[in-house]
Amino acid sequence: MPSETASCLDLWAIYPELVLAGLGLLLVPVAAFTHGRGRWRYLPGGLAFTGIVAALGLTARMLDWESQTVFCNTYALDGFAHVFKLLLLSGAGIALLAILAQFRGHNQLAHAPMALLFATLGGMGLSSALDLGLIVLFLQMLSLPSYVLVTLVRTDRASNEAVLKYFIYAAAALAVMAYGLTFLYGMTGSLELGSIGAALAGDGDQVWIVLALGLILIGYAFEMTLVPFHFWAPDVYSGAPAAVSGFVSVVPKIAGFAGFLRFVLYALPDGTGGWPMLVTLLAALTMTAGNLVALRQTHLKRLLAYSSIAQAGYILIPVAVAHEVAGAMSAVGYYLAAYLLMNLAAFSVASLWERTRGTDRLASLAGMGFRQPLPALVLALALLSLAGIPPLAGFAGKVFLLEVGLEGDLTWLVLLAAANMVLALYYYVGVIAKLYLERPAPNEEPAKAGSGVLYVATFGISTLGTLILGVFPSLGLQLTDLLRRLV
Amino acid sequence: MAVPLTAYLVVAALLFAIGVYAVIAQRSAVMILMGIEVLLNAIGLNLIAFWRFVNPGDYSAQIFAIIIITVGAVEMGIGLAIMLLLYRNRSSVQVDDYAELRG
Repeated sequence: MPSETASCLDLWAIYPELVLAGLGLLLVPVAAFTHGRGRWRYLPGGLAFTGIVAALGLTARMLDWESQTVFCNTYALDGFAHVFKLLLLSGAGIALLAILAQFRGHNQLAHAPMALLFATLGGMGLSSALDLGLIVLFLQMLSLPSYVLVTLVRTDRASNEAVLKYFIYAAAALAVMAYGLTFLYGMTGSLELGSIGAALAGDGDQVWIVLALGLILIGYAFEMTLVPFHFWAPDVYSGAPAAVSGFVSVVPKIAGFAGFLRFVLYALPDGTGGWPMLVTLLAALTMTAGNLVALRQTHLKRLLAYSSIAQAGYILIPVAVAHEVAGAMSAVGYYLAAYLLMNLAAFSVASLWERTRGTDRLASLAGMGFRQPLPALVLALALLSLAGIPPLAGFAGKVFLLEVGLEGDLTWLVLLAAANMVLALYYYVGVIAKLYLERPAPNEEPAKAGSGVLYVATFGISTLGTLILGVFPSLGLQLTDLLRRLV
Repeated sequence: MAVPLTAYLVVAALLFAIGVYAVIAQRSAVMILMGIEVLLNAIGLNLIAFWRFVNPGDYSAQIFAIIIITVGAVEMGIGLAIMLLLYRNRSSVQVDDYAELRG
């Protein structure tokens, strides 16, 4: 309950975060204890899933609270933070199910949930943080456990390479970003985003603002996988276990968008430093480059990686006009919700394929529609939604994005995005044609195991979510309209 | 004679440039990690200089500097753990040996 205490220790405001943090700490000894003990290995995963559901409930309860800041103006409690926390928690929950499904019966089962909880916690903090120090801290909290997740299978060659690239890119990008943040402090003498915005709006030296913005943008662009800071993404997604790639393609990216929006809307309102122009350029570059490279991919995880880069480019359209078009925020939120569901659905099918076949070559998917109808259907729906075919969520989401772009006078960018969506259809439909039109290789051995209840749950939640969100877009919009409520 | 703010900023910018150069040019992952540490030190120096000259009455920048130092320590910890894991698996931490994922 909102109270009027002068103290800065407003623990009542962060119950969802406290649940995850407490559980994460508890899981450290629990994971060590259950390591290698048969059925006990399911305990950490079960606890973590329960914790995520509890945090979802606690966050949903906060939705109608008044917007306010806590912890001495460093942590925001507003519609924006709550909706982004709901998105992050749902993404983490579905990704956790997929990870548990992929590692069922393996020792990694015990360790994955702990890292996943801490990374999610970092993302949640980032959507609320109003202080430069907290931003740096939460960005690190998001990245460090993600390295652990990527290298869950310690002896895997591809994972080893993926984690090395992820670590070097992330550490360098976040250090460059923090260097940029120090200049904001130097210009304004404050670490708080709101006061920085007020001070810069008056008489900021444009050259220094642009320099700081450029450096800071590198860190956020890294998290959002924007071209040209995307080089890590395809390697990490294809080297990590597919279920983990699903997590890394969803949670850090959504958190990156949350952090970036929070940063520019508070510290640089009214487009100070020309960030809307920079974001527009990055959007054009990201969607085009992502789609063009995706055209010639031969592996499913890599294809999904480039597709998710292109999707980030689409989401940047409303971000570029977030400070002037009223509907921009709900378009971002709606598309992120759709992206989360369809991307996790696609990656969980890739994870099933990796578990049963040990490969993600597109050629190995030939005839999947006849051998394994359920996963094939899930993958086909996810790809159609990513391509933007009605009545799936991706279609409604793209309509909202383009509408907002037109309202914000970005006609050329909207046209470019539309052309890109047509281009993207080619590779999405190419995969679907493989699933249903090609016959499986005659000498191919039948798949080892069935999907298992965890996979069915992952498929069910993500696919039904995509359908419901697409058929009833007003449900999603009602929720994401809350994004406009900033402190 | 007091040292002006610009001098601190120039030293920090030099540290930053050295760090970026190390990250880009070094071939050994451990040396890249060192480059990242130099980057973090540039941030710390910048922060403390700005604190002293811009807003010495407010201690929050010092806390930010301590956060940066902590981040550096944690990053070093997990970074070295990753290097150790890679070395055990492939007996090499040269980044050029890890170039199989491409396309």
